[in-house]
Amino acid sequence: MSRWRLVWRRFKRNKSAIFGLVVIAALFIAAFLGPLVSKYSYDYIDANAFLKPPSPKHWFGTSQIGQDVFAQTMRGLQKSLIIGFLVGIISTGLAAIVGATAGYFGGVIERFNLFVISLLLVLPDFLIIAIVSPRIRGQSWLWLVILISLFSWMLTSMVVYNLTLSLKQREFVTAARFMGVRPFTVITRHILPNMASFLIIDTTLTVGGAILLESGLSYFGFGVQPPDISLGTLIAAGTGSALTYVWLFAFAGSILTILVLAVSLVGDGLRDAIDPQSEARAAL
Amino acid sequence: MTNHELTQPIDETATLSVRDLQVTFPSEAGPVEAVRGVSFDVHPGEVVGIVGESGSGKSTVALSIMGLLQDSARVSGVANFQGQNILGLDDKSLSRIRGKSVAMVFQDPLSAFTPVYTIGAQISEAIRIHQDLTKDQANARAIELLDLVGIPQAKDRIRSFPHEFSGGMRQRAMIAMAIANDPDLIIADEPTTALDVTVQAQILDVLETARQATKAALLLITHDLGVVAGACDRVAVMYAGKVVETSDVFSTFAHPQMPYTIGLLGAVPRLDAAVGEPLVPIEGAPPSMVNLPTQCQFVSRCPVALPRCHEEEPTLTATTTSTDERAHQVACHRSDEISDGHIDGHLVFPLPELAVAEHITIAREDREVVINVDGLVREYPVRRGAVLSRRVGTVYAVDGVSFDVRTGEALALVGESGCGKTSTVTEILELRELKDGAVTIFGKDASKLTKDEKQEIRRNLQVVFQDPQASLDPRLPVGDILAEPLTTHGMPRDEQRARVLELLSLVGLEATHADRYPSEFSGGQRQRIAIARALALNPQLIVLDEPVSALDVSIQAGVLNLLADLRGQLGLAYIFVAHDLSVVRQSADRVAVMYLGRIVEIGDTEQIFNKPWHPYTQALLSAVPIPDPIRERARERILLIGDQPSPTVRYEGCRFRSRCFRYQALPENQTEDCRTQDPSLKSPTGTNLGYQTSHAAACFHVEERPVV
Repeated sequence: MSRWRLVWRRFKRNKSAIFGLVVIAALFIAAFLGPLVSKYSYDYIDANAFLKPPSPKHWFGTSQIGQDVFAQTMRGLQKSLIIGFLVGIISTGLAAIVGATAGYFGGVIERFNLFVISLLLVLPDFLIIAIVSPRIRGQSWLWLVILISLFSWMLTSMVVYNLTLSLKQREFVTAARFMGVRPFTVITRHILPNMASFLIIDTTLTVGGAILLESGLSYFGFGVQPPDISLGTLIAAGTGSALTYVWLFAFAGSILTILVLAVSLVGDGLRDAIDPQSEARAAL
Repeated sequence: MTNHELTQPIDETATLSVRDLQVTFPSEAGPVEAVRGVSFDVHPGEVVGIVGESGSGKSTVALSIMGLLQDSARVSGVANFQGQNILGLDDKSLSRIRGKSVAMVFQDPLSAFTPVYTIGAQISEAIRIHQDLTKDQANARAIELLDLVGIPQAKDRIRSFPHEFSGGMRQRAMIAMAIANDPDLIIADEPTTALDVTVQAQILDVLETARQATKAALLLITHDLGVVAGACDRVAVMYAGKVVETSDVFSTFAHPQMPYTIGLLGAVPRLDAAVGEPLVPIEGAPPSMVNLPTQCQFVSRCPVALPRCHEEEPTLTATTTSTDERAHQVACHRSDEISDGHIDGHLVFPLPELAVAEHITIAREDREVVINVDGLVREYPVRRGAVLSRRVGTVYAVDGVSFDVRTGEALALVGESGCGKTSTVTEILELRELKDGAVTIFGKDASKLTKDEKQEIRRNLQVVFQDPQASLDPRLPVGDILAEPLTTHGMPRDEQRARVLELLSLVGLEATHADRYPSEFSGGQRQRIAIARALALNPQLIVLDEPVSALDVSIQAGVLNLLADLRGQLGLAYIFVAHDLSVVRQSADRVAVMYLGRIVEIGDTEQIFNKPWHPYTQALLSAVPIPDPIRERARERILLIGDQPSPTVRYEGCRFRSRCFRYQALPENQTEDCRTQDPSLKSPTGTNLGYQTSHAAACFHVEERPVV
């Protein structure tokens, strides 16, 4: 694909985006290879080391009951990464499909889609997930991803809908229609790519938001269930000792910060690479 | 501002004497040198035209004299107005001059008026700022002024708000405001660019009236050489921030000596040229005004450039043939070798040769009908109310339009904005059920198509839009844009690349351009890409919706030539929508003139231009200025009354009656038909073949009248 080769060439020129990408890759590698390198499993309890600060033996220190914080953080990072990215992709995708079809086709589809959006907007997401989550207890954590996604796409979708309405009037969309291009191709080739910068920024925000929502849920016991760990549960568990036993909180907290920062750097870089105009605008 | 040495002394007798005007804007890429040393004089009562393409710096000159540039602009030089240098004056002292001694008429009169005050209040305000008059006196003066600029019922209209005026009326009011304080100099910045051609003629007329009433000098800034030819005493041609040629209007048009001027004059489509004659394209695009090298800025586009032109920028000097210093000045190293558009016995800009299709020789009746439109109707509802919208009326955008196009033929749909020409082609392109009328395309009824048939027709029917910036997806590289129709109509992916490269070379672009995005191209190149996309599937019929009206003259010529050449090479049929009659003369076989949703005259190009029948066609033709001062001034101009009426009303009788000069001249007993019957297209010789004949008009009182 010549287009993506060009996008990649542009992306490579952006140093901070490459830095972000390297950080995300490093975090992924650390999250999935780290536990293999570490001597301790995340649920192993070292009875000789309670609340020990970082040392060559326990890189991130140990918790109140002697668990290795490094192993736990990596395990939590795994979950948070997967949940965050899955929710980001699923909810933005859902938003794009629902919003763009409503805007492009109009009529019955428009009214139905907008009704669904308004309905979901008035339901309180945190409460609903809290109520539903006991029913999925013991089942796959993927249900949690679906639940979070289901409640985080509506505002994006309204923006997509409005952007579609204005893009639909643009001549290149009319040109494609008169060429005989099928409606779904028009949406995927001309409408959605032209809001790519918005969708990418939105995915980035959703990734951060999803991780926060998941950690909030986990804090109250509705999210990731023990023995599973996420960065959310770790931060929640470490907040109390944030000032006294810094390592319980600081590693999980700063990794979360670095993760979200890196994702948004990559988002910025992708936007500049996909949308040559934004780059031109920056050069003005 | 520093008082540096001036290249020429200030002319004390002139109303305005500008010397060495330089304007620089800061930008990320470096300082933009918008105006690079411009000098000119405007003498009392004189009309000076500054003509140039977009980006030549002509508007910046006007704005800098008025002190209306953004604060970040750096201005140097002298603008001596009545003994005072007004460049760099502070806003307070400038305000005493602006609107009183120097008045300005802007391009867009809608944004030049405050929407929340009445026209009368704004004109009175302008009067009372500079003159010691009471409210009533100022009001009376405002009515007088509106009357002078030809606004009917000025007494009542003075209470109207700007949005209640049409574009032409607003521009008249703008002129009224400009002459309110009896200025000595009026600066008009593209005063007619946003207006229709018949309204443009009215406004130029009003401007002349206003000038005579105030005896003011006029600085007219425009891109239209025809306007200059008709209205100006002197002309200065600008290119890349400099005046490259200046003289009295007759010498520049008759004996241009700068290659750019020669090219520009050859690039303008002219009403009085022969049908099908190629235009002079000026290759390339104007330079970006950042970090300009020391050379003639036209060098990259000049066909007769010498090595010297790359090393040294020529200065504006009097030609050897001119009698005095001021007569005719040119900035070109080779100007002395150039005479009558020739250099060393050759044309400076050689005329391109265009392909002519073989089947043109076949008689029209024997050629296949590509599309036949019969009584097409398109109505738009007018709705009011945000929550409970209800239909309060109908816009009769297209109201019974009929025409046909045959193989290899180009039909031009011409008319002013709002006449329904674009609605007509959109309705055809939609291929949907019609409200009324029938469209038969490639022998099939367009309203009864299966999905497959529709797709087959779409393959043969392509479109090129007005603005290539909008019609090309900015996020796809050119290769993908050109491949889109191929993918859609099922060409295997591995064959696509070859076809894309073939298309690029067909429209004069390079293979390496396939990987670039549309934003990296100039306007003319983008339109070439749009044309290449339309050609991708070897269509039979291409709809061209104002394909050159967004382009500069020098670029437009290349695109028009390309379209003519492709039609000859590939035997295409065109439906060419245009508001400009002169553009159509070069490119169309047949012309249909539209007015208020209806075709009022249709026929072979030659017929329409040389022997127009319908009074509207005659007025339209007479309103298009010819870029030749001698011919232009000798022409008789037909001025229409008022504006195009609203398309939301059904008219009894002939719809052109309200503006028709022939109707007004008829004795009462002969106007019966015009008032009661709706004329249909027919030939006055009696044979009622309607739109398929070589010439037909919808008028009861057809009278031939050559107007070009």
